[in-house]
Amino acid sequence: MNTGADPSKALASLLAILAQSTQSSPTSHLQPNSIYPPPRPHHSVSPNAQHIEPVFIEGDVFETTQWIGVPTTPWSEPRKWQFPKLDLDVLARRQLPSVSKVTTPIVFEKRKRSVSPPRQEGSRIVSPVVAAKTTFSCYSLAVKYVVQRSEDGEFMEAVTRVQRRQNETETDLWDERQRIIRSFETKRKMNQVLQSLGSQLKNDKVVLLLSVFVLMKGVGGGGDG
Amino acid sequence: MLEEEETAELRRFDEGVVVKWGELVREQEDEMKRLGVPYFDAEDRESKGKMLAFLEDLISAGNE
Repeated sequence: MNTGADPSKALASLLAILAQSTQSSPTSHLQPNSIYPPPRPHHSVSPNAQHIEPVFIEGDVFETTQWIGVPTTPWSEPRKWQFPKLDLDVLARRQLPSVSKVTTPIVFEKRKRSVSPPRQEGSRIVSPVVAAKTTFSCYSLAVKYVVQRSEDGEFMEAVTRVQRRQNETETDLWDERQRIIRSFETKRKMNQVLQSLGSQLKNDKVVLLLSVFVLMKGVGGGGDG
Repeated sequence: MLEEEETAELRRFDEGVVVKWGELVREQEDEMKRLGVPYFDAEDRESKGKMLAFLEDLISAGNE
């Protein structure tokens, strides 16, 4: 941000921007030091899953995020982090048990990377410089105030922690959804294989077979896919 | 059969995401209020949106 203080940094930054702009790669708009892995191609999604109607309604909080459940946009891997833009009214409606379509509770599986635990009231780090003033006559004054606050390491650390938690949540949810899609793709493939072998097995037996297959693979220590 | 199951499971998952996302947003709101970030106590959503964008820039700049 403060490249103006160092001419060599400013020049390096300018050269980097120029180099980026000359790239003709379709992903050239991505930051090279992006914290996200490169987006997976959409064709990796199951062809059946592509036609699944999104469950989100217009005006949902997701509408303003770049990656998830937007009514006109299919799911995609998170690319660039941004705060969710909250619509309190929509959220209030969400708090009601209006999701009557859900008949079974959703239990999220444990991930390989441990999900950061929910924030606990007792664990709050109260900065001694937390200011009570949160109303300003104009936006520029508010920005000036936030810039001043950003010099406080604790303030920036707390904001960055918020960002990190959102990143982790988005990545976990994306991975979880991909896992569901992959599991059904595997089942379909097994079905096809069995049908081609002339088997009369039904889907439930396919699941059983898959379980045995996974177990055998686990016992054999096979990791070669 | 499998397609129907997949659709149903993904739908349930997406609905669960909505709930989780709402919790995350509320958590962020609380934290912003605690930190004293302007416009999180007010109803000025336009300014709140701008402030969020500004914070994003601030964090990005800090990560560079």
